[in-house]
Amino acid sequence: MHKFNVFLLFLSITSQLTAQKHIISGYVTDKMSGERLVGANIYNRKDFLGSVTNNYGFYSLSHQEGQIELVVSYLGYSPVTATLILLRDTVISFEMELLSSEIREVTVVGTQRSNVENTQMSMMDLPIVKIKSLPVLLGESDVLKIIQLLPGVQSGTEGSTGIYVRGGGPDQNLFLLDGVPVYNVNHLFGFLSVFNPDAIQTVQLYKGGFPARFGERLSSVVDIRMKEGNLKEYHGDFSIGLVASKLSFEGPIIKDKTSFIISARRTYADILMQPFIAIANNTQNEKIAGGYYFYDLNGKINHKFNDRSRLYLSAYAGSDETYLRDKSTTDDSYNYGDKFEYRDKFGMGWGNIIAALRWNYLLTNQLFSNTTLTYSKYIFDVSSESKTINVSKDLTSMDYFRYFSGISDITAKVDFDYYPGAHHAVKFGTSYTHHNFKPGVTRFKFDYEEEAVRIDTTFGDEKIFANELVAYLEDNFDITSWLKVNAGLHYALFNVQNTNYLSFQPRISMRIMAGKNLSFKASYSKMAQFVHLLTTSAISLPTDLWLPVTRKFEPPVSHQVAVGTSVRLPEDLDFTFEAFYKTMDHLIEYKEGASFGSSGSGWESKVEKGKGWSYGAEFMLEKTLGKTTGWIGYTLSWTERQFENLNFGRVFPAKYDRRHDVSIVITHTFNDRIDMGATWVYGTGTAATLGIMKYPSMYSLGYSMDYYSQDITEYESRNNYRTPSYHRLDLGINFHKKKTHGIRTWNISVYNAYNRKNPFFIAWDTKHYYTDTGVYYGKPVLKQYSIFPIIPSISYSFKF
Amino acid sequence: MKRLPVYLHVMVLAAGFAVSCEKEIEFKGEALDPKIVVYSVLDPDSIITAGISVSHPIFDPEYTYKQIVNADVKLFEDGVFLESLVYVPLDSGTLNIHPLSVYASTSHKPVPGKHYRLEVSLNGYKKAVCEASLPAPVDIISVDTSTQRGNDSERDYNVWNTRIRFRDPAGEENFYRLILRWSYGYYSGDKALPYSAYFPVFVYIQENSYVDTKDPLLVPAEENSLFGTDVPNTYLIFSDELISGKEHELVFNIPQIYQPIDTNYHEFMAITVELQSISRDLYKYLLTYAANSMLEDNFISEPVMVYSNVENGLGAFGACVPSRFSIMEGSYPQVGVYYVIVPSYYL
Repeated sequence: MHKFNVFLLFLSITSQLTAQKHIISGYVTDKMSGERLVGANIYNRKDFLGSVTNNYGFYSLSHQEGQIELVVSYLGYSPVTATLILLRDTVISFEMELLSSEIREVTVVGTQRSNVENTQMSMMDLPIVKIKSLPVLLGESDVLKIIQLLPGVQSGTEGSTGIYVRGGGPDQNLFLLDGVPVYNVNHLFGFLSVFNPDAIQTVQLYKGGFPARFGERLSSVVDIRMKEGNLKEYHGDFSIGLVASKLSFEGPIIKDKTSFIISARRTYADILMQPFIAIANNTQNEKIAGGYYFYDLNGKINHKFNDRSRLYLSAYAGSDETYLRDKSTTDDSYNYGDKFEYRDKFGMGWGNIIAALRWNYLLTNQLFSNTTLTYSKYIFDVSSESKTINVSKDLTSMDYFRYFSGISDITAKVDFDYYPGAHHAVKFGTSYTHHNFKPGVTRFKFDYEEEAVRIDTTFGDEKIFANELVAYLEDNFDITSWLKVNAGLHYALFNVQNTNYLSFQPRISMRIMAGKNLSFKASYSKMAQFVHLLTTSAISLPTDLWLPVTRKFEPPVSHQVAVGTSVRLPEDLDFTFEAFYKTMDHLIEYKEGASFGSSGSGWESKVEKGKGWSYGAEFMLEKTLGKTTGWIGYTLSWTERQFENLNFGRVFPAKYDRRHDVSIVITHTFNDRIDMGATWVYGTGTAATLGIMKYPSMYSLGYSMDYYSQDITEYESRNNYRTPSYHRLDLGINFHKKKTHGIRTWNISVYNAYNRKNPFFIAWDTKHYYTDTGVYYGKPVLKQYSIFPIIPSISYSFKF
Repeated sequence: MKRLPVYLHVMVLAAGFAVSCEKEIEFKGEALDPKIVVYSVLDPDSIITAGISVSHPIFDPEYTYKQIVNADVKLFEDGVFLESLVYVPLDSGTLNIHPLSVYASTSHKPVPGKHYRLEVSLNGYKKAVCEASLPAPVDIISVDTSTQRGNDSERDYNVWNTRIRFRDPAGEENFYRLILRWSYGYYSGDKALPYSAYFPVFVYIQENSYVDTKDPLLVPAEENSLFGTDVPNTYLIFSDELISGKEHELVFNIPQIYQPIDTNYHEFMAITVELQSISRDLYKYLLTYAANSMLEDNFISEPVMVYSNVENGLGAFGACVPSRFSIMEGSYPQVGVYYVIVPSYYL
């Protein structure tokens, strides 16, 4: 343990409190970069009274006068202790140092307080070092893919970043990037997330026991904080992978005052593939170009006015684009002497833009304020243009189609952290959001010069504006030395279409210590959300629509109860058990047979209302310290839905209902130059609707085809079948080497190491054959389609 | 435009870097017991009939439908047994393509206000039971048609602009269906020569309910569904959700979809327009069947289960009460003209 890495920046004296108690407050920062550390523990070794740094590295605690020994710990960092005699209110800022500062990514050492003491249950803290040590798909680390490995979190389809938390749908997860909601978190049709790990400092997942400061979604909050940028010196890193390349650069603009970080990432398959597409498709009369790419850009600037005041400006922009261009000409002889040219263009894109301007101000040593303005926008846009040009007569016919949808939010909010005494940590705040929904607009344009026909029409759902006002109050307080409670109230008012929805959401979590190494926990949360994501149920696409609650469709509401226990075991092991029960009301889904792209009527006519519930138990055995770290997680759960007009009103398992879910995650550091990671996952097959019987249709229904009667497939029930189970082993190894100007790392990963053919989807197919007697039959056979076999990948990165 | 869904499917598949492999897997579900399938639609103008069949496992490769001659199909009216319907053998000239075995009443037509139940028993199957009643007839206020000439690059044709004003009864759920039955006769002789009674006029009778309309109740197939998942209103059915208890004028155009006729050769064309009041069960069956057929092979969409009101069985027992009027060109039948009616299964 390193001692005396303590820097007393200044002292202040106040006399607001009783004579016996004084306030100790300050910031915890990284010594090398000057960045503030979120979630660091500060406590007095003697009585374990302490605090945790907030999202801006600030802490405040009060203690009785006298000698105290403060311990500051943070995962991956060398702990710091400071012994002082407390005579007055004191400000102490701590600078913490990575034990092995040369190779930060590979070292997971240090000490931290166990989950046993934490009041917060159903929350996971994912240090970025862990994320970077694990094996990756196609050379790309991904935050959401690590979250999928946690108990209580189901993954979506093979390889995708979709997460389903405790039976909740994909729209029930609130993704916050520096406190700003991100509506679409997918790149590459869901195979990668938009969160560039090079720009991320911390990731926290809440799946229950939600503190009152969070709202807006029923099932989870993924709170991602970007790095702040090094205040002391310039650093950067770049990496080259099979799919994308990344570059990050950070440093001081004014040393110890202003810093920046910028990270960029782009795929380049579209560029590399162009010659091959040309060779494969281009002819003398036809030229085809097409491709797909995504990019994202993260940037952040922060300026420290003084130790009380700091300003942050952060932004993200990212987009996925696909395009196809086809130009061809026809021979005159086919067209009565006229020469024709055909030009087809197709494009599809989706992406987010978000920005946050944030001002931290320390009002007193006990009251920390954070004022924020944010902007978040998501848009999906698809267009197609088909031109036929009669070159001989100089006449053009054109079909044009465009469909777009999106959502944008502007938010202003103010949050306070107040530490009134040793036993209380109060958070309160308020926010206002203006939402602008574009549920789906279609434009058709036809222009046929020869026939003098011109049509230009736009139709679809009108923009919907909504206003949301939120206020919350929570207190994390010690009732006795063994009983600690986090109680709060989240209040939301949502105004849409001249309708107001009010929601009071009580939250409570409690922890009972039963000895030094054992605690019991319980929580209750009511959550509500005012947006729906309307998804085409079979797969996840960027076409999924974000929609507000309306007069007709009320806000979805959930109630979740969880109980659990945490046990600290020898060998730095933590065991956690949690059981939960959650109900969800006012859920929506597309009617059977409806989809997003139709224009016949508004979206409200295409959806059904229903409810759902889930329950289960989660087990986790975790080791966070030492050369070998990782966890074993197991979830046993049930998730069901009931809609009056789906499945004839009968209960059915949700698409992502998965009875058993196991994950084993291991990282091991051999030395400063080599570390490796391995993950193994197992999941019960997902639910699928599969035909099991056939029978004839009603004869002669007034439509010519029915004179011949068709066979109807009988499904018995929605999601009536289970696909084969899913399991997969991923392996990865990192080789680090110190070079003159930095550290280079080669990562070699193998996704699906034993080449398991996991189901992507299943469907009936027909196998054609002749019997021994020569009679021809088409035999229905069940086929499983898989997408990712064993995939080795390699990436190179250099950190300077 | 038509290529757009294709592009999108390609893009979606490309997202998976192409499906790497497919393999045959064993079906591990519980095989359901086959069920009796019953279809019957009560019509006050027709003798009560029922089509009977059985379901079979989807993976049974050698299953062929057979006529079921030994089913016991009992008909009850208001809980009182009326009779057992009698199996009607297939016509000898009929192609053996019918998976349904037809059972008919000897004399009973459904009566408004009465409640009917069918109980179908067959050895080896659970007894299937279903019930239906005739709905109230459509309260038609007025019908208006006018003829308009249209043309395209190939020919001139008629368009019949049609308006049916009706009143939806208040305080109850009502369901409707629009059906067009076409009868047309074409002279089989050489029209370069004068008419000769020696050559017959072939008469075709066909249901083809294609209409051109923007009426929100009918909303025909939209072609702009990006993934081809919109279900057209194939059977022109609608509920009173938008017009409950109100008058509504159903506006639609009937394009002439068959060849023009020449009355000099005693050709004719008759369109019988039926606005039916249909039972809720028939409406739900038609609605879900249309979606099921349309989306069965669409991997984007969740499969649609076909509605059934047959207890312990499958199929539908529905009812309809038609209100009809006809649009006629030429005349039929005419004395002295030789007509040959073409069976519908040759169409």
